[in-house]
Amino acid sequence: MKRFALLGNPNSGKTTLFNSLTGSAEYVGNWPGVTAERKEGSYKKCGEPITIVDLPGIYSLSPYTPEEVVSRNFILDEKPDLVINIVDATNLERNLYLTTQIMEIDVPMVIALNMMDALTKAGDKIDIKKLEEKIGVPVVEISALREDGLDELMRVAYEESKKERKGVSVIEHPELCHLIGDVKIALEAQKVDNPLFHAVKFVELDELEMEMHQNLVKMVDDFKKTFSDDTFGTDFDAIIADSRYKYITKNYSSTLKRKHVGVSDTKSDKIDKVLTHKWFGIPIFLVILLTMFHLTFSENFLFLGGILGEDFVSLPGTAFEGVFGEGAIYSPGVILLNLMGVFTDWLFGLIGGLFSNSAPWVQGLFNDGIFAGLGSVLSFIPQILLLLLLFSILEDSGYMARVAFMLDRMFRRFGLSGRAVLPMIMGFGCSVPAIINTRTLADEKEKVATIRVIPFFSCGAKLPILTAVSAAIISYFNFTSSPDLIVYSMYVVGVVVAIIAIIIMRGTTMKGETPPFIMELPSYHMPQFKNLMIHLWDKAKHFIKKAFTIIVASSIVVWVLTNFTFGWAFIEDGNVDNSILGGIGKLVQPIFTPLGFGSQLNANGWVFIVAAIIGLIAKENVIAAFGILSACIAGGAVSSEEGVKEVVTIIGATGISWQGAIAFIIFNMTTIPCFAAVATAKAEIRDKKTFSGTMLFWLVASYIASTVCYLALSYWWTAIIFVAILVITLFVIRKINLRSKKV
Amino acid sequence: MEAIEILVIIGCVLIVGGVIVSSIIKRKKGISCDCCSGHCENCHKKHNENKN
Repeated sequence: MKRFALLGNPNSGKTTLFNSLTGSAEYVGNWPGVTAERKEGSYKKCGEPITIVDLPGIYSLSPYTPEEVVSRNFILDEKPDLVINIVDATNLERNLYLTTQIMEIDVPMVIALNMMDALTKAGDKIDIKKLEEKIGVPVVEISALREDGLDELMRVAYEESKKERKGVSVIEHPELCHLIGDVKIALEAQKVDNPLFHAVKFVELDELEMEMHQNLVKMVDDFKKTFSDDTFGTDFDAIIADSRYKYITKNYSSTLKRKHVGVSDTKSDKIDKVLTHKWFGIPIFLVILLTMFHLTFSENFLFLGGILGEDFVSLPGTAFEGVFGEGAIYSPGVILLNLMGVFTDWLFGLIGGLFSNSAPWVQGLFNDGIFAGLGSVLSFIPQILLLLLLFSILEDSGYMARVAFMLDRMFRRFGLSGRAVLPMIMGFGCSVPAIINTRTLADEKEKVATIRVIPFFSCGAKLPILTAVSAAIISYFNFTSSPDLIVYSMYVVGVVVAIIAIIIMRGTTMKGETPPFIMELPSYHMPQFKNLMIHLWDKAKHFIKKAFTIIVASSIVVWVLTNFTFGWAFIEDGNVDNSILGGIGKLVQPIFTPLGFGSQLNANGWVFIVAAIIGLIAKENVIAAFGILSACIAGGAVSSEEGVKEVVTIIGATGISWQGAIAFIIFNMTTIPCFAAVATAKAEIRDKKTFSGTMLFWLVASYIASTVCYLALSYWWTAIIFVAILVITLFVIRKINLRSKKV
Repeated sequence: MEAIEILVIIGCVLIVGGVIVSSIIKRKKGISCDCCSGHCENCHKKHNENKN
């Protein structure tokens, strides 16, 4: 089977093209560096199936960054049948720098000139024929986003892959050309593949090449003694880069005709003047986030509650009573949640009816176990998807890249670069791809520190915990606030805990230089409906699959452990305190007393600990466990208001305070993430000791954060003590570091 | 014990057992998550080789 590699600059549209060609749903973000590892898919419209390999975006084939190593190794060692070089037509000169390097490799190549629609819209033109003549390889115009020209690209690529192509160099510096020629002959004698590419890299004094061909080092050293360039001296790397750019300017710039000559503000520049403003940039971001949470979680949409009156109930007397609002109009997210709740109640009621004549334990297993657990989780899916959709819109438009740029200044003070901010932002969706993305961080300690704080950026699976517990607190304790404000505050707390953890780690165990952050800001564009839907469908599939596998299995186990005693007798009177789970929960309950959900609670108080432990398998399990445990405690399924009433029942039965309930949310947000995220972290942190330290870090961080939160909310004066301890700790760390630097 | 009760017990054992076994297989193959559905076994093998 033929293999074509997609290679190009970061954010040139490789993954969008890959998804379009293969029908995959790989993560696409409008910022550079989204793809950290190669991905494979299949294209079947040519004469034979073709494997398409999506490689991380790179600016050159020098092995300086992990992405460059992955891409370079693939092209050189695994020898694809063809390289599709994706060139961003709106940044032609800079993108062609990589092209001039690929041209030196003995591999068939086709140039896909992407984003031609954006170029045409700006009134610019590229003479494709002329460009093709100059480069000597086929050039095909495409728009990966609109899927224009893809069939033609693959047809040309397939034909080209049947031919052979020898590498050619564009370097015109006469003396260096001689040296490159000599090294190439020597490499050919050693039967090295791609001799021209290796020769050029060798003359550039590429560390890898020097190591591989030590016998040739003397040849270059001798040459160096007799050579000096007027501008660059003996800096061969700079001379070759200069030579490439001179060639690009001389030959390719003439193929581009710009409508406006000179520098003028683009639409993106004008938007950036407002959105990335030095002072208003971060507040604007916080307002955008608050608006997103309001749209998703508010029970007083657009604050219309006062206009409608407290006795307002939507569609009274129908099956949809109160679904759209009570006392106020609900936000779209809450309406979706309620509608899903009505649907799951109806569906499970229907299925549950089939077992009405069965033994009590069978009815209990289905109604209070599987349906209660599954229903609690399923009803949240539309709301989670709405929030993820809003995040995707921000990402796809190019705004999130700006957020990383704005946060770089802030995070740099704490010891992390803006590059590390991107995986953290991805963490709002799912910790697993976010942890994988840390691979783009070259500094190992910065990478470990980033992996450790990623779970603090609450992922989609933790949303049900946040939403259900927040809404239950408002409902049970009669607070006048809206759940969206609690959820928003919890997100902010997560970020604050992350920042404190970063400062402490980078000042103590994870010390290291903060690498510079250079990122090309992508242009703003309208998010593509298809991309958004692919992303959402992928997420929905993931949640549903998880619900019907892990959640159902966990629900069965939780129900069995909650309804049987250690003597294996079925509990029929709802006294689950004597159950197996109750016994285990009560054993560890005292440890959680400082957190507000330990020994101070009534009987059944152990349910919080059990839910948190089960949440380690998958975070959705926490709410599923509440569904089952509340049904068991209440002696029958609590007609669910989408997980909220279950939590209200639990709060009532255990006597937990609102401060304890908030500490419980924070514990779940900051503790060890789900199994999948832990496994990914283990794969990324290769050192066993560091990984064990990471697990311990999550446990300690969540314990401290929840204790501080519980005590500070219960006794306001303790907040002063905690702030003082934090300030002194940070001051001491800084002092010690300054002293060690002086020494 | 009625037939339906036996069926329910068998079903539960199959679901719980299936989830545990499949997660063990996934871990052994090196596929650590459901999120990365695009990763085939081959990719993971290559990925591990690259890391080494």
